[in-house]
Amino acid sequence: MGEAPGSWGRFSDPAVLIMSSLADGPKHGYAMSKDIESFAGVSLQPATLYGALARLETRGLIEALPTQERRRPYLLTTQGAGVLEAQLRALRSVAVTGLRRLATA
Amino acid sequence: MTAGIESRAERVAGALVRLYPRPWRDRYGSELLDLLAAAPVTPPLLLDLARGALDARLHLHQLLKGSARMTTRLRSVAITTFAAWVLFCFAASGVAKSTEDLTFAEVGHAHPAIAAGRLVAEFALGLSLAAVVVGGLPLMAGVARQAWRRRDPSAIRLLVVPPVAGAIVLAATVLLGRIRVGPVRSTVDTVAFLGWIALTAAAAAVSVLAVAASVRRSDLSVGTLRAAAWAAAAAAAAMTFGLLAGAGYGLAVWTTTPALFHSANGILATPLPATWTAALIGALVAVATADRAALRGLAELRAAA
Repeated sequence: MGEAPGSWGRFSDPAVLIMSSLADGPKHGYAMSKDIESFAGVSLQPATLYGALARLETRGLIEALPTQERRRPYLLTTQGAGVLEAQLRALRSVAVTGLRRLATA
Repeated sequence: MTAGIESRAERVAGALVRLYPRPWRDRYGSELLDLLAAAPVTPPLLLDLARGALDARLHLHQLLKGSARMTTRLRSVAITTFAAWVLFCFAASGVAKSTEDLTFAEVGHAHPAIAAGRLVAEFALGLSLAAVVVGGLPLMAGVARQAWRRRDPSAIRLLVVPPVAGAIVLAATVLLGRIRVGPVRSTVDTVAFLGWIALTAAAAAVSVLAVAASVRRSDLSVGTLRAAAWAAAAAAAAMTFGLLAGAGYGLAVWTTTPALFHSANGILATPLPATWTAALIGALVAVATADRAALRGLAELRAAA
């Protein structure tokens, strides 16, 4: 499916945040924005959120569900779950290494 | 921020959203505006919108066009396969009607290859029905859910068309079965039978058109459309298999019992070869259409993988 979110420039971090938000079930844009703010402390601007959503959807990592009450929920696909897991494992490896080095410095 | 400045900022935000390319706005515009309505319009937000519009124009335009094209094509694959399957059923029912005479069952007992050919053709028809149901039910459930949620009278009317058309055909069938409109093969009887065929064909055509319009105007998930494309490919394969088995059955009847093959067992006591030729042409058109749609659908699925 082409390149991983890591190469999406300013959309790479929002992409991981969005996929993490969708990991426990479908959400629409507003719910995602609030969820990301609560678990990551990051307030995504609407255009950044939808720029990342469009990239994730066109690459099949998330899928739009039919509109409910004028809002469209998004679902993490199986492929998206795999990509998210790989990204989070890489981030964990970086975090563990960084923390260990800080502790021993 | 005063009301005047706020409304000016909102107008600027709205103008920036209009800078996005049309496919992007068609797909995400209403969702973005919904989110903007809940956010205070600040300079960083306006800057984010301007950068987003530029990014959409530079990077996302072609991707979105491709994505929209895929869903349109998958819808078309589902609709075309359903229409082809209905035509295939018509052709199959013509063969079934012309072979309802007990002589055909006796020929089947005498020649196991003939019985096997018929059984395989019926099995393939059953498989195609299963594929149409498996792929079509989630599609129509999605269409019905949306029509109900939106309280859209025209969408609900479209959904009512197939059951109403089916009920009319059923009522006409029961009526014709109970009321003898004239002696068998009399002019009145023949006209009544031809009228029933025309009514059934019209009901099927109207139902297919209603289903097509419903699917085209509904907002269906890509997952449902992909599943429908796989089901369409399965239906097309089963129909191809059924056509080959049916043609084999006809050839076996021709070679083993030429007298029966050339009998007047066709529709309205016409020569059997005429009915079977018409059914074969109908089935060939249906299978060719379904196979072409299935190949298109598989190509879209492969391109998206």
